[in-house]
Amino acid sequence: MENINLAGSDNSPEVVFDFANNTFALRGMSYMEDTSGFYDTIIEALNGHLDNLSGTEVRFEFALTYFNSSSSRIIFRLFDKLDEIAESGNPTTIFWFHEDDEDILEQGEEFAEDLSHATFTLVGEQD
Amino acid sequence: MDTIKQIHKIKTQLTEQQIIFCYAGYITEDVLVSVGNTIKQKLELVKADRSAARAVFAIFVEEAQNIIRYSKAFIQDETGEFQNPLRFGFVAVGKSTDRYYVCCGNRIQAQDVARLDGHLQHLQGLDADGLKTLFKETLRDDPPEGSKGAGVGFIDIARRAKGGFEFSFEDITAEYADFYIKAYV
Repeated sequence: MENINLAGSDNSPEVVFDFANNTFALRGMSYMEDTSGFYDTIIEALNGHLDNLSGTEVRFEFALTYFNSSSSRIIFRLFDKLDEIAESGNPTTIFWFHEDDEDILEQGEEFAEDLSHATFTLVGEQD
Repeated sequence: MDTIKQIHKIKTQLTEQQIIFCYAGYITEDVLVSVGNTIKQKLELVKADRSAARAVFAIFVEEAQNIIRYSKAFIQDETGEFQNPLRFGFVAVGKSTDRYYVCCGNRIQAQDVARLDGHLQHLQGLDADGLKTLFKETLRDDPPEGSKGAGVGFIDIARRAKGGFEFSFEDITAEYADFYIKAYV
């Protein structure tokens, strides 16, 4: 599958979906008004890819500095999906970058409470 | 002259009320992004508490997106087919005693008042844990019918409003009311 690389903007995140290496990232701000318009197509492509993996290591990096409530739903469901593929035998790690921002840290921990199979790793401020 | 004096009076009152930002007009996504950035800059300049500044920004975004999505005061082209009508709303950021607040107003249909009133009263009665549980339950469910967002905007506002929030409905006509919400961070 063709990789997805989208540059970030004031209100939409940088998207890096590297299907060949199974490393994925969302970085920056996410508070576009039309959340579905932004995410639906790329998440569909991602889910289609993830569903076909078997015994593959997957890494997903969230480095978001702010996201609105409708983006929360997208992230929440992504966590569900990643946990699901981990359960079916793909070692999956979610890296949650919070840059010592308490709100982002708490939000990540909240999402992580529902994970049973994927590994959740917090990443603080870079040295 | 009278008009300018009136405007000056409004401006003076805003300053007296410690309102650092006020916008009444059509709100678009561009306005939201620019104003959001300006509010963030302003709060950084006055060295507002980082967490309070983030909460102000986040509540502003949720409230402004409510206006963009739902305000019933809008204009669209003659055919009514214009997909993105301009929607009118009111947003203010101010400080009262030691707390910043974000206040927003927009027009809603009178028939929605009871439902919204019930929802917001319910949120006011929940503690932090209750709000968190409801937030996650709502994220898991499909968005409610008629919702263009995730149906979690007010829960997010309630969670970030550490000083609580108040709201009010002002009758306009039999069909419409103005809805205001004021959240203290």
